[in-house]
Amino acid sequence: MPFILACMAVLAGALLSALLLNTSMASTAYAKYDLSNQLGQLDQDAKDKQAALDAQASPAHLAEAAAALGMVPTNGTGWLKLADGSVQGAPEPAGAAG
Amino acid sequence: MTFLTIAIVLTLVVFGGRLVYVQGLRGPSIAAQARDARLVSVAELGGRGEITDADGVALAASVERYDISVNQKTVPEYRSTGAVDGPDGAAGVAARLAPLLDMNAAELGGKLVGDRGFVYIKKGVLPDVAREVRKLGLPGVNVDRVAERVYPNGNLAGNVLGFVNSNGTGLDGLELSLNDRLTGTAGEETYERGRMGQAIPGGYSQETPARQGDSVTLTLKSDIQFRAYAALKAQVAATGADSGSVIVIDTKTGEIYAIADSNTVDPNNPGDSNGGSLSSAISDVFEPGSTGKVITMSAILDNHVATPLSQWSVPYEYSPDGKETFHDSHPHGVLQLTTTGVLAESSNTGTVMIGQNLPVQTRFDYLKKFGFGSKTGIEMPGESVGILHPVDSWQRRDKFAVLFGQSLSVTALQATQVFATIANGGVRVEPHIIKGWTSPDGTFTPSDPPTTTQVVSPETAQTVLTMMESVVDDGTGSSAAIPGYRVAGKTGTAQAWLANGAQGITASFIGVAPADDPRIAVAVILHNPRSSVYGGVVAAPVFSDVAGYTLGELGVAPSGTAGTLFPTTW
Repeated sequence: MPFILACMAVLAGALLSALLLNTSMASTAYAKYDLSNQLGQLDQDAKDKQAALDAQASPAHLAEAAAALGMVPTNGTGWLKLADGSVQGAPEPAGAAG
Repeated sequence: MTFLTIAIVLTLVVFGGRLVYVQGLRGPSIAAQARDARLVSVAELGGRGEITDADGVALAASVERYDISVNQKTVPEYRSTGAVDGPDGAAGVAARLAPLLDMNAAELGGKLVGDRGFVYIKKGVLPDVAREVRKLGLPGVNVDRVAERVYPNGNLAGNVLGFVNSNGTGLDGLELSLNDRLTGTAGEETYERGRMGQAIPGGYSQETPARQGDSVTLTLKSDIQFRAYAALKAQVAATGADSGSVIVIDTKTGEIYAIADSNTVDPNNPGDSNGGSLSSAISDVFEPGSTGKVITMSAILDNHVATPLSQWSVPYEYSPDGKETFHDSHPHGVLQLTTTGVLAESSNTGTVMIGQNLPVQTRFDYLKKFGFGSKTGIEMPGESVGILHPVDSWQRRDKFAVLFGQSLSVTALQATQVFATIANGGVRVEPHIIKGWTSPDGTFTPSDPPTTTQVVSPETAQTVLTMMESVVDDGTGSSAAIPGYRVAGKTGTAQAWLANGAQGITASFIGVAPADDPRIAVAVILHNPRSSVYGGVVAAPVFSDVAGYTLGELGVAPSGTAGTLFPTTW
C-alpha cells in the first residue's frame, strides 16, 4: 500500500512540475513579448532622437543659430610659437555683427 | 436490460470508431492544419548602411517609419462600441484616425470608401503615431514598417551622396554606385503565434536573421565642406555667376576633404532639383585656360627647354609660325620677363614663345601624364574623362593653344589633380572619397591605398611650385594670399562654350598651401561671372577663405619663413 501511494505521489509530483514548468515558460513568453515590444519602441525613439540631434548638430544649423545669437565667424587662426614666443598669422579680432 | 446494454455498447462503439477516425486516420492532417493556423512569418527589415564623413558625422542615415494602408472591403465592419461614441463603418474609422494622422476627417473618409483591397492613406508616419493607430485595432487598417532615408545636414554634400527612391534604392550619386553594399538583407522569422502575438514557447520556430548593410566612411570633412559650399554660394551670388565648384584635396594622400557645387540638390527633396548631372565638379567640362600653363611649364623644365630664369622679351601679340597669331589679355608693350614672370603674369604670348620649342608629341604626352583625358579614379558615378583630342587630329592652332589650356576640356577635379601632383613632389596620388567600410558588427576596414604615379621629377615639381608662388606673391593671384602662410597657385580665365553656342568664360584659381610643405590643393571654379572675368578677382578670394579655414581645421601652423622666389623680370 505505501508503495502504491509513493508511486502515485511521484507521478503527481512529475505531472505537477511539468505543469509548473510549462506555465512558467508561457508566462516568460508573455514577458518576453512585452519586453521586446518595449525594446523596439525605445530603439525607435533612440534612433529618432539621434536623427534630431544630427540635424541640430549640422554645420548649417549651427551657423544659423550662431548668427541668430549675433556671433561672427573668426578671421582665422593665430599660432603661438612656444620656442620663441612669437605669434604668427594673428588675425584682427572680428568685429561684432552689424 | 439487455437492450440498454446493447444500446450503450453501440454508442460507445460509435464513439470509439469516430475517435479512431479523427485521431488515428485524420489526426496528423488536422494537427498540421491547426499548426499552420498558428504559424506566422514575420519579415525583418535589413537596415541600409549609413554614410558618414571622416569624423563619423552621419551624412545619410535610415530611420523607421510606418505606412498606414486600408483594406476598403473590411473597413465597413467597424462598429463603435462601449465608451467610444460615433458613427459606424468608414465614417467612424475616419473620425477616429483623422486626429492621429493630422488629416481632415471628411477627406480621409472618402479614401476609406471603395472596393479596393489595398490603399495607402498616409506614408512616412512617425513610430509613436503608428503605435497609437495600431492600438485602436480598427478593422481593415494596416500598419506596415518601412525604412526611410534621412540626410540630417540638409544639402551638405548632396552632390556626392545622391538620393534614394521611395523604396530606399539608390538613384544617383554614392547611394547608387554603392547601393549593393549599403543595402541590407531582409530576415525572416517563422513561429507559432499566440492570441496576442507572442511566440508559443516550445513550438515550431525558425529564424533567418536580418543583416544590416555595411556603412561607408567618406574622406569628406563636414565643416570644410560646409565652409567651401557657403563661400562658393556667396561668391556665385555676388559675381552673378551661373554656377561654380570648389574642391579641397589632401596632396599627400589624395583624400578629398570637400567637393562643393553651387547647384547641389538637397537629398531630402530630390524632386526639387532642376535636373542635370549631380556633381558638376566631376561631370561638367571646361577649357582649363591659364591653369594649363602649369603643365606647359612642367614640360618645359623637365625637357630642359628653358630654366626659370631664362630671359624673354614678351610682346602683346605673337605669331610662332607666321600663320597663327596669339595675344595676351591686356594690351602691353614688350615686357622683359623671365620664365617665372611669364607664368606669374599669365602671358599667353610668352607661353607660346617658350612652349613652341617643345615637340608636339611631348605636349600631348604631358597632358596625358597629368591625367587629362582619363578618369581620375574617384569612386563617384557620372565622372567625365574630359576632351583631349588625339595628337594626330590637332589643327594648326590647336598645337599652340594647348600650351595655354585651350582646345581641350577638363573637369574641375582633373584640374585640381594637376596641382596636387606638383605639390606632392611630382607624384600623382589617385583622388578618392571613400575612407573605408564598417560592417554591421563594427569592424572598420580601410580602403586599399590609392595608386601613385611619378609624373614629373621631384626637382621639376619643386621648381614649378616655387614659380607658382610668384603668381600669388607678385602676379595675378595676389587676392589668394593667406595671411601668415606661403601660397602657390595659378589663376585661370578661359573661354567656354555654352549649350546654345554662345561663348562664356570660366574663371578659376587653383592653389596649394602651405607652399613650403604643401598639405592641401584647393580649386575654385566659377562659370560666367558677370562682375569680372578674371580668376584673380573672382576666384582667388574664395581660395583664400576656404584654404585658410582648412589649414586652421587641420592644425597646420604657418612656417614663418619667407620663400626665395625667382625674379619675374630682368
